[in-house]
Amino acid sequence: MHEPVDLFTTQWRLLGGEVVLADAAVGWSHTIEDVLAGVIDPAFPTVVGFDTGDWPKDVPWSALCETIGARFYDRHDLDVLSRQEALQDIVAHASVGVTGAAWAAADTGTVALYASAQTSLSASLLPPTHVVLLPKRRIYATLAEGLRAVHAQGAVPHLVKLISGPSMTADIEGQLVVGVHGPRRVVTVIGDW
Amino acid sequence: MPQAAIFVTCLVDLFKPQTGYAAAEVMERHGWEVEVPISQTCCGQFAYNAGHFAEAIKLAQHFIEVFESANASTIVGLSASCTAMVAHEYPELFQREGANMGLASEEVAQWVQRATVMAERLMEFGEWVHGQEALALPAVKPEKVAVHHGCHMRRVLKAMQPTDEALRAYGAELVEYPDETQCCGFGGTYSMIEPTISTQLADAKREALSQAQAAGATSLISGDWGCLLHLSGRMEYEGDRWPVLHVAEWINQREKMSAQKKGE
Amino acid sequence: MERLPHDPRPWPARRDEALHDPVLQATLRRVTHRLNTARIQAYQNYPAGAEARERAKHRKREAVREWEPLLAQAEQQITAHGGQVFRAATPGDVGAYIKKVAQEHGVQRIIKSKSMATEEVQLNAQLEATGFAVRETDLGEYIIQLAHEKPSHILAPAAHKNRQQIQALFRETVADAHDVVSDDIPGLTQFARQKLRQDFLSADMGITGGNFLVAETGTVVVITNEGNADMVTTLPRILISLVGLEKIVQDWDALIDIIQQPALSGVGQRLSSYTTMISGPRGPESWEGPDEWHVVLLDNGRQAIHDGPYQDVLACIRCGACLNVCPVFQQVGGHGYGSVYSGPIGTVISPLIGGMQTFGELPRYLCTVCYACQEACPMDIPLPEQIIGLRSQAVAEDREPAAVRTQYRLWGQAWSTVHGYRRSVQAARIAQRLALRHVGLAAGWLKTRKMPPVAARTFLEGWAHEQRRRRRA
Repeated sequence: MHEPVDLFTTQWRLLGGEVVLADAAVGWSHTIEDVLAGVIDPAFPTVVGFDTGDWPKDVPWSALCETIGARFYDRHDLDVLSRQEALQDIVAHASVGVTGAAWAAADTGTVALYASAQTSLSASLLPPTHVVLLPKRRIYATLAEGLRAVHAQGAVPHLVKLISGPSMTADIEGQLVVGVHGPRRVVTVIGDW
Repeated sequence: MPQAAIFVTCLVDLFKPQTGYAAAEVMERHGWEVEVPISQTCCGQFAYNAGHFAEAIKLAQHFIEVFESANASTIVGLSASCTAMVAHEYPELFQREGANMGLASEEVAQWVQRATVMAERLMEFGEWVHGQEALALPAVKPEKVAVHHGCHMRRVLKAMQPTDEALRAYGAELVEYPDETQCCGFGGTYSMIEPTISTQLADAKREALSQAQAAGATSLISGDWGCLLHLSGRMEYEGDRWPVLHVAEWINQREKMSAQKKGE
Repeated sequence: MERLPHDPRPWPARRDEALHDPVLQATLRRVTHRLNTARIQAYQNYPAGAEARERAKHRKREAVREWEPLLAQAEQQITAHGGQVFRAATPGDVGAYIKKVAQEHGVQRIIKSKSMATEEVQLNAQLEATGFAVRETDLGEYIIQLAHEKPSHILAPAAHKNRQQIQALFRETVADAHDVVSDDIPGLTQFARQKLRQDFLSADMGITGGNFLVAETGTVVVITNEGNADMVTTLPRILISLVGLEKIVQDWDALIDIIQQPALSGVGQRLSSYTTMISGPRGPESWEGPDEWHVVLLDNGRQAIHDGPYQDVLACIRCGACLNVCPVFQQVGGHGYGSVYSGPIGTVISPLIGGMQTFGELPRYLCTVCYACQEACPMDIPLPEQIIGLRSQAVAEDREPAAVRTQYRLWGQAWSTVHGYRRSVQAARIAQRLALRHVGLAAGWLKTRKMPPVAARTFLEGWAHEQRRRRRA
């Protein structure tokens, strides 16, 4: 018997992504701190994060990032800057971008992000590591189910992005290389929050 | 007694008559009455593949007329690609091009109908032999062979399996080699119009086949003299020595060997 | 301006260059083999993908057949979401429109994701001629842009180059004095990433192609593995999507069935790493996406193809599977075709878009009619039949050498009667005795291969003789 979460984990890993299964007993904050500590680049100690309202509550992001020597920027912090400044000066120099996901699909190992007032696709694209906080209930068994959900609400969001593993290319001699333009590490933290 | 008419194909007729005799012998040995419509020429595939539809239609009409007057209802073709031409392309050809070639619409309909009936009567030699009980004795020791299925056999008739199974029933051990699905580069008149690429592909096939040879395959077998003339022509040019046989010839050999053993 | 760019060298020159390029021979074989194996395994391990393909095939054909109302619907949807639509009849129209938009917005730097349609209309050359800086961002396209070459594979444009050549190219074209350019593949990729980062962040206009255009929702879907199309669609102020008319699909359900096929057939993945779906420009509430979005619908001969006997070829999703299985492509690579569209699909669409006068040699010289392309095609396009059709068009338009034409005509006449056939056998025997075999079509054969003589007694002669003997006995 394959739970969507198991199949998602298998597929996502097959594509070169990483999965962390978060345990409520350990505490979401602890797990997230561990994950960030593992991916932060001390040369670029910045984490940008955009909560679409589906993150675990009560995670002290700024304090948590401070303990690993990083500065945390959220939507609120970036709103005081122009879009260009925010992108050029902050997001492009962050080593980690954190987002939620509108949904995920198990059979293809895909997470879907919608551009909206709250979330920034750039956090999933510019930093070398992308961390996705994915509530277990948002994982569909198949991509088809997920895509139906995009349209089920009537209008399709103006920008939808499906991510299936890290950025990769085989353009030179057919050899697979991870991390071309987008992130080379994609870590999905799955939990029941 | 079951009857069959042999569709010899022009290449077998002109260059490899022994294949025709081998097929006839095998069929007679299995108790079939063999008929060879003596007015048959060429199915027109060369012309069709090169886009010379007027010539292809002329040859198709001749083929249909000749085989319509055969007594036997079953027709056995000695080339997979020619069989594919008749069975798969004739009806389409008349349908699509008949009007362009000056046929009235009722004539087009008639030719499509006649071609469709013809297609149903036709089977490729490998398919025919697969439907027979193998006459080989276990005492005849197995032989390693390399098989090349032409592209029409593989992708249009999609009938490799009957031939493979028939060969195995006669004690063939099919040796695998790299890129078996790859075209040998023959392509009908392509082999003459673009000899450079055609030869490159023949050499790629030879290289792949050399692995089968190294693994002990004693001969190269195919159901298509088109591919085989091209490959053996290249082998001979380059000084390779390796027997090249049609499926019918190889099976005929095996049956003769069995009969000999039985006689001993 | 020509409808489709072409390499003016004749086929034998292109062919021989490819055959004598050992780097090309080695990399091409490796790339096509890897992609092809991946494709076969992907469908085997994923029956849902194969089932979706069957549905997609039919729906895609339907969409192409009835495309006018669907295109109108897409146009209406895009406009309703605040986008703008322009129908371009020719390559020149595309360039003129994009230049006008760029000038109106004071655009200086343009970034592009990979798009065969932009190659077809030579968009970079058109924009650069007006002074815009255009940067290709797909790694393979970036490489060939720097080298001033054309793509050699629909999916892997730089499949003909090896790492040493690319290292040298980077050194000569984009590396600063202090840059160290690695000679390993990950290092080269990192180097390109860093260089292109600056282009992404400073660009004012982005240009993408489009894999699909959904009529129901006005959505353009762009698929990449590198993530560059995401950058192009997310970062610049102005976004242009150049979409061929044939990219149309009916509705969201049709999209669901077809969306995985380019990745499954092209690279053997269930979905490409990045799929971007754009349905409109950024709304006031949204942080990202373009302020303005223009969709340029490209005809450039497509309507004529639609209205003719080759309509099915418009179902192509540009996955490149037919290239990877084609024996001729494996020998000569994309440059052998002298067109940005190579392989079996290029053999059909290049003459259809660019004319038989220029591209008639493709169906004639670059196809053995092996059917591997149709077998691999996820949309089951009858490419071999279409190639034969184009050959027949060349015959009908009298484009074949007169001597060849005459040989076929005499042959067809002779062999459609038994007497003619027998006479030709006699003639062949005489020719053999006179050593006249090296004339006409047979000469091409004998250059590299032996040919057995016509049998002293052909099978039919022998059989007839035997029958007579038996009757007498």
